[in-house]
Order: sequence, then C-alpha cells, then structure tokens
Amino acid sequence: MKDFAVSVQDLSKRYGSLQAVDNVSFQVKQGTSFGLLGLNGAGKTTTFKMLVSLIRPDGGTAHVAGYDVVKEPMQVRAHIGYVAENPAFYTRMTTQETLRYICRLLEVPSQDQNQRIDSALELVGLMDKKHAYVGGYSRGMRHRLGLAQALLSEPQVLFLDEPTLGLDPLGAKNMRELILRLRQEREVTVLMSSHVLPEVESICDVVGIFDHGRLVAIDTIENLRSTASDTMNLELLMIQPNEEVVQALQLIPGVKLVENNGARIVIKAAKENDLRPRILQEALNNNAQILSFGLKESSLEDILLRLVQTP
Amino acid sequence: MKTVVVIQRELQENLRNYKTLFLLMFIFGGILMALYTEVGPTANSQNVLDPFFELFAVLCPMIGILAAMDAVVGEKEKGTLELILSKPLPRRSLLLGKFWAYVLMIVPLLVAELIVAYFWAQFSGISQYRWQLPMPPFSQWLTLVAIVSCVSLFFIALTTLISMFAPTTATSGLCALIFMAPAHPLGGEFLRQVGLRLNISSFEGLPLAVKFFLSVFSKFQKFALTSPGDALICCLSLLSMTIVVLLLSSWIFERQNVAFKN
Repeated sequence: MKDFAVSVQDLSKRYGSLQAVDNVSFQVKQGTSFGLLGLNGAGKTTTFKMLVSLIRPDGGTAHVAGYDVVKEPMQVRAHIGYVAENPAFYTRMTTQETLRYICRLLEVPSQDQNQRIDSALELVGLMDKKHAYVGGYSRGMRHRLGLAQALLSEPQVLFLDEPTLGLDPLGAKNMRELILRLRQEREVTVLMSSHVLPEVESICDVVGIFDHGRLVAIDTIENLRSTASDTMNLELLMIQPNEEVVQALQLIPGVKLVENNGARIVIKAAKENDLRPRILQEALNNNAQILSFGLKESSLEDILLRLVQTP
Repeated sequence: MKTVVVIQRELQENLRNYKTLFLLMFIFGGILMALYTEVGPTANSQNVLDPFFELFAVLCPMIGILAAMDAVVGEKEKGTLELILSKPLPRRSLLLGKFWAYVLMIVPLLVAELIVAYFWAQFSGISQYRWQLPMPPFSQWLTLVAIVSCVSLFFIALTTLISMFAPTTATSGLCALIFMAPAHPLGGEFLRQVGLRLNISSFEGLPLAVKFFLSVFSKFQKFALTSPGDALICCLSLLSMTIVVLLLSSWIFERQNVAFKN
C-alpha cells in the first residue's frame, strides 16, 4: 500500500438506476501519472470526485496518500490538490485573498502563507495578477489559478479534471508544459482525466480506460497499443502512386485491409505472422520506389474507440 | 477555527457585493415606513410599539431570508462549492460560518437602528403629533428588539437549510417565503380560528409546550411584548428552534450527495 499514492478497490457509485461507477479497482504508484480516459458519462469524473472525497462511494474502498477517502476525508483533502473541470472562484476577491483563504482552510502556518502563495503564483505565471480581482480573469487564467490553489497544500497527489478543457491551443500547450514541469520539479503523483488524447499521451505513464462505469483496460500506452488489437498497422510511402503494388498486397494471405492513399498505402495485417518482409518484397517486385516502410502506431484514440462500446 | 475563516470571508464578500448595505437600507426603510407612513397604528393600538411590531414581524423574516437565500445554493451556482469542499473544511463549519456571518451582518444593524428609532420617535415628538400615542417604556422596546432579532435568527437558519436543497437562489427564497405564513396576519387569523374551535380566547394559561410552538406566530409574539415571562419563552423557543434547525442542517449537509455544477 505504501508504494501507491492511490489505491482503489471495487469502488462503486449509483445514481438512481444509473451505475455511474461499477466495481473499479486500480493502483497508482507514487510519483507516476495516471490518465483516466473514456467517453462522456463513462464514470471518470464520478471516480475523481469519490477520490477527492467530494462524493461518498456506495461500495468499495479507496485510499489516497495513505488515507481512506470515506473514513479520513479531511486527511485526504489536506494531502491532495484538486483542479475541477471548470475552476470557479469568488469573483469579488483578489488572487492573493483567494489563495490566502485557501491557505487558512489548509491550516498553513501564517508565516509560511506568503511564501507558498508567491511560489504557486510564480509557477503558474500569475504573479503580476496578485492584486487583481478574480472576476476579471479569462478562462485560461482561472485554470492557472486553479492549479495554483491546488499547489498550496504541497500535495502528494494532484487531481486534474480535464485540465485544458475550453482553453485555446496556446493556453492548452502552456497548461501541459506546466503540468510536466510540476511532475519534474515537485515529484507529485498526477491523476488526470481528459478527452484530449495527445495530452494524456504526453503526460501520463499509465492510462485507465473507462466505459459505462467500468475500467475496461489499464496499462501503459505502449502495452495498450500492442494488446488492444490483433492487427498491426503498416505504412508504405512511395515516390509515386503504384496500383500494381496495391493489388499485389491485397493478395497476400493475412493482409486484412489495404488503404490506397496514392503514394501512401496503409496496410492492416494480422499480428501472428510478421508479414513485413513479405509485404516489402511484394512492393519491390512491383517496382515500387520506396521512401519509407514501417509500423504505424495506433493512436490512443484508436485504442479508446476499439475498447469502448460505442452506441 | 475554520468557522471563523468562513465568517471573515463571507463578511468580506457580502460587504463587497453590497448585500450588507442593501440589508441596512432595508431595515432603515422599514423604520422610516413605520415612522412616517400610514402603515402606522390601528384603533386598538396602545402605544407606538404596535406599528413597529406589525411591520417588523413581517420584515425580520424577510431580512433573514434575503441574507441566507444563497447560502449553499449560491455557492453551487457560482461553482465555488466544489472548490471549498475539496479542502479540509468540515461541511458543518461552512454552514455555521455562513450562519454567523449573516447574523453579524443583520443583528447589530437591526438592534442599532431600532434603538435609534426609539429615541428618534421620542425626541422628535412624532408619537404625539402624528399618532397621539405614548411611547412605550424602553424595556418593552428592548423586548421587541429581542423578539424580532430571534425571529431573524430563526429565518436565517431555516433559509440556510432550504438553500441546501433548492436548485436556484430564487427558488430558495421563494420556498422560504412560504414559511413566513405564521408571521403574516393570515397566520394570526388561523390561530384565532383554531382558538375558537378549542374555546381558547387567550394565550394566557396555555401549557409551555404549546407556547413553544406558538412562538413562530407573530400574534403570539405581539402578546409576548406585554408579558415578560412569555417574551422570555418566545425568545428561548425561537433560539432553540434555530439551534435545532442548524444541527439538522449540519447533519444533513455532512451526508448529502451534493450535485456539483460542471
């Protein structure tokens, strides 16, 4: 248990007839980052809210930073940072007043409060807005302030619910860089839920895929890529289109699909027998002028869509 | 300790959004109305206390409702409830902090303005030249202040409880207004009709338990103004009910599955 920042066992939550979270179990090692993926209503946010002790589970147990989320919610909240999907603040308070209020709720000693506030503001780049009213903040600034307030507890575990939702591309990039910096500098465990799959790929070591309240897969992205499908995707790039190559490849036993995109051909082939030498040979036999040939990795999006039951 | 932190923040916020100023003007407007408009005394009025009580019996529940109608639901609407409940702040501390902040906003204003109104009415001579009525003794005036303050406290607690369930601040306010019925003359008429059926013509001699529940009715409160013992019962009943409502609210809020705004 001690090696794990988060440990979840058979966690369940029901809203009326809807089983929002259904016997979910997983563990997150300290210092790593874990991504929760899934379509809307898959149970990611409910799981998040149970882990930060905002809502009470109907069944199962969960420990965060070594504390039970049901029996020791105050301890859990004192050791985590939580950034909600849409961070909201008191609009008639300044940035500094807001963070001081949070510091006082966290019982940060008064002599340390200024240093923690300045350090958090410095990190998220809001130092120049220290005395500005939060009501005038843009969405991106609110997200950054959300992160700043989450850091005041010097958290062992940081929960980020859709951290870049609604941000423009630059804002999203800045937020991603900020999270990566945090991981490196403060060595916090990060749990993140997101729809933005490249973001999860760039930040998370392990991902859990949710579908209809259940955790249908949990692994590293590499392992998910290799196990999520019984086919491999290959890409053949030529100088110019060659119809004979396409026809020849379609005849190879084990080749399931040949996508003809002109000079670029995508081949879906069975995994059991490595067909790459045969495919390359056939291409050369048909006078293909090859620029490159190799595995085309499945995107996280492909994996997600393959694993969840779309209606 | 965290309750104090919440009180300070609430007071800061409410001073900046002019809620306190609005309530101050509301109470001041009520006093002006009692002094200078035809709301004033009826043919049965004994002294200046009557017009003030008639008005403040309705005004004080409204003040309590206006102050507390957004207590919990307002935080939900703004989305800030998720922020503060994700911190190590017990929910009962949040409720108590809000309750005391509203009390601190209202009660000192109410007491101060009513005491100033007493001396204004006395020294300006308005009681004589306008109504030809004597001023009541100051002790009786203080009884009025105590009772209406307790009414305000009760309605702050009740509205705070309602705001935990209401979907919007407006709904919270409207639902709380329903509970003002005992403060309305219709509530008095209801009591009269019940009294007629039970052959009871006066509040005197009623058992303590009955007086305890009658304390929410303005008719009983008015009667208590002339009877120090009943005034004490009235105030203690209202305070007890306030404490019970607060404890109940805390108990429910600790267990409530709050629906957060996404």
